[in-house]
Order: sequence, then structure tokens, then C-alpha cells
Amino acid sequence: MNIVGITSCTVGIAHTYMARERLIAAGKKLDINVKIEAQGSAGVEYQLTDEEIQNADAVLIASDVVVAGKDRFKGKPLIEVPVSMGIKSPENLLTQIKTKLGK
Amino acid sequence: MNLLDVMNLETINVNLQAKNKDEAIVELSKLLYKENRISSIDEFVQAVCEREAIGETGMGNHMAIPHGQTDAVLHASVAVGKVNVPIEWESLDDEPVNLIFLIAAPKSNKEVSHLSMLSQLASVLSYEEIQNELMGCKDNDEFLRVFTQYFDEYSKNRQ
Repeated sequence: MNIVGITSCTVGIAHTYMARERLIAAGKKLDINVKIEAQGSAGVEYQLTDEEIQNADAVLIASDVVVAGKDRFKGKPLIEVPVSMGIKSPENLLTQIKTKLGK
Repeated sequence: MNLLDVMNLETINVNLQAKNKDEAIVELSKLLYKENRISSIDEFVQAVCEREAIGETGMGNHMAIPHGQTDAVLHASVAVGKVNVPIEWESLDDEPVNLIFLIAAPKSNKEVSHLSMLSQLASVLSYEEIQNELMGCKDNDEFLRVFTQYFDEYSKNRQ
């Protein structure tokens, strides 16, 4: 299963990157391929490729602000949560998405 | 580029005296000021407090990452403090904190590469085993050595 996503937060210094790292680590544990683009104060890092988006079963946006480039995900199941959820309970979040999609 | 671009021995204090959150932020800001990394303690502290008002910077597992982005920041930096008696802090797990990473981010676009350093720092700090090991460091030297080791390892394997 493939999930792509974006993390972003108010200042873009800490939460964005902690959430990204934890979601990727949780994905590894759950055998879910997770690719996350960080939209922070340093700009867009780890930008998602068209191919990654195309192959995604779902899109996860963990953010407290409006993210850029949401139109790239047209037609994909989209889950939006506060960025803190990506830090607090990344495994839970990914498991829920997996169950919802029946994967 | 390495971790020493954003921190050094002088911006670490594993025996922070602060008794509460405000004192911790000021005490750590003073370290940054002494090292010429911020131009004004007041202005920087204000930016950090404004950020604090928006939402919790306690990340769980007794660690907080308060941060401020303002023109008063001359160079992207981080000051680290550890308190022996946990202090109250708005946290994702509602627990008090012992370990505080105060991040100072500049507004200038010229500093993008350093901002990226700070983002890597936050990434490294997302791992509980690293948090726990840093929590156990007895002096500033040990802290810097352990943190540098983890940081370099992360940077090398960055994906």
C-alpha cells in the first residue's frame, strides 16, 4: 500500500518535520510505503513526484495551515488531520487509513 | 555543513536553573545572545512566546521544541537545556518537560540552507530512543558528542 502526504505547520520549524519523520517510521513498521512532502520555513522539501502521487492509494495531509498544490491529488482518497496527530499517533493514523480503504 | 553550524558547546546547558517555562525560554535565549546568534533577547523571546500562544510545543516524552522566527535572529541556531525538576509545558501528551530545544530561525532567504539544517534537527529529534539517550547525558560535552553522532548518521541516510 502506498500513501503520499504533506506535513505543514504554523511556523514550519519543528512540527512539520517531526510529523513527517514519524509517519515514515510508522509506515516502515506497518509495511506501508509512505512518502511525505514537507512544506516548512525552508520551502518545499522532499517534493512528491508525479509518479509517487499516481501510485498512491491515499493522500494524507497533516497540517494546521493551508497547504500548496492540493490539486495534484484530484481523484484520490484524501484524509486531512492536524499536524499534531502525525506526531502523537502516526501508527494509529496509518492503520485507520488502511482499514478505511479495505487494504 | 554540520550540526556545529547551528549550535556549539556554549549553547548547551544540561543544568538549566529555570523553574518554569518562561524562565527556561529566557535562560536559553541568553545563551544565544552571548554567542551572537540573536540581536535582541526581548525581541526573540517575544517571537517565541507568540508561537507558544498558538499551540503546544511539547512534543511528548518530556521534550519541548519552542521556536521563534524573527529578524532578531542573526543565524539559524539552537540552544539546548535540561532541567532536573520537570517543568510545566503545554505538551501533546500533557506531561511536563525536562529537555528543551529552543530553535531560533532567521527570516532572511539567504539562510535557507541553515533552515534546512534546523528541519533535519527536528527530524532527528522525532525518535524516542534518541530523546532518551540525550536525556541521560550528564554534561554538555557528552550531550554535544551524542547529538552530533545521531545528527551525522541521520544526514548521511537522509531520504
